Amino acid sequence: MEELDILKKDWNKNRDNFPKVSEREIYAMLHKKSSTTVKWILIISILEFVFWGIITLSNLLFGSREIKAPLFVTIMDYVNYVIIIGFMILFYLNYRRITTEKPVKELMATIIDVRKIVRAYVIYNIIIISASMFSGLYMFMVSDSPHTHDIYVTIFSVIAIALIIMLLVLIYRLLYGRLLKKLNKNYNELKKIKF
Amino acid sequence: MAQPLEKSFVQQLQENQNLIHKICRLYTNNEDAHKDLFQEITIQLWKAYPQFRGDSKFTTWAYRVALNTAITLYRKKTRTISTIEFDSKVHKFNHEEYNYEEEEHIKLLYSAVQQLNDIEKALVFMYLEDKDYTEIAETLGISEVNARVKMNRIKGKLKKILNP
Repeated sequence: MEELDILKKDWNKNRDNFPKVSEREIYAMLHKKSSTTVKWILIISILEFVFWGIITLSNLLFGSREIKAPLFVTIMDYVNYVIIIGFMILFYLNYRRITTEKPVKELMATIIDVRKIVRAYVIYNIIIISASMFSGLYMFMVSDSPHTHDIYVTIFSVIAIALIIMLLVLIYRLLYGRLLKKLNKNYNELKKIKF
Repeated sequence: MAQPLEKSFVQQLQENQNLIHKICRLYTNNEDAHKDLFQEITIQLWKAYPQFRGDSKFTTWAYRVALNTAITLYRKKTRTISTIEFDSKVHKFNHEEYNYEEEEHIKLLYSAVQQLNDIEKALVFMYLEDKDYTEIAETLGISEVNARVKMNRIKGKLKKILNP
């Protein structure tokens, strides 16, 4: 007899070997807090949306306007607001697609999609902030400021921006690497099942 | 006072709790983790319960939600607890039906299944629950042929684990 068939015999026989959980205990469980990967993704994603939203919007609203921004920049500001709102709507719609009644592979793909949307949002914000900082720097350099040609200020700013971005990328990789390790492993395992 | 929906859920879960225990047995290796996963599955089932329309049996609906929770959603706590105590508690064999040798063999089989990965455990669970390959494939989101081939490979893998 095959190993699994021996196990099946036992599986079906030993039906009452587990400790019985009473109705009262089940009621209590319903009011306990859940701690799942999806819940953590939601919390971190909201924090990311808020954090990057504040940074980008404050940069756009209160950024250096000493030099009059060209019309193109003003239009881009509005486009940026629309894109940020678009990301949030996309995130919400995809997040609602996460249900535990789906096939295992589909559920994993949906969670990964949600994660990709937030990652795209973060990358987009980093690009916008970097572009905005560098353009600000450029405008500062070509303006009539007394420090215009202070090469040290320029180099320091570029290095500081690069370091901050690298640090943030590292934090993301560590955070999500840890959070999604099991999910990615299982998803790859399912994708491998193609004969 | 409990709401009617809550009451019917608790009753159904209480009656069918062995299904959840069996999944917890496969996906955890100590008593605390077993309890923890049982609780998480209960919460996820309760969250999904308003969508359960009763077209299928409660168990058919519940095992999919439970498997998804165990494989994808559940985050193990970082505590480390000895597994020895739990093994002896979970495998309470009926001594009138089993002799020592059979008992040991079954224990070895369970520990071999424990060494499989999460997806393989899901296939084993559904096989042990007598689900047909159409249902296994549909639950995992793979094709029926792939489910069959994978199952055969798991059987081979178990053989290797048991007879290295």
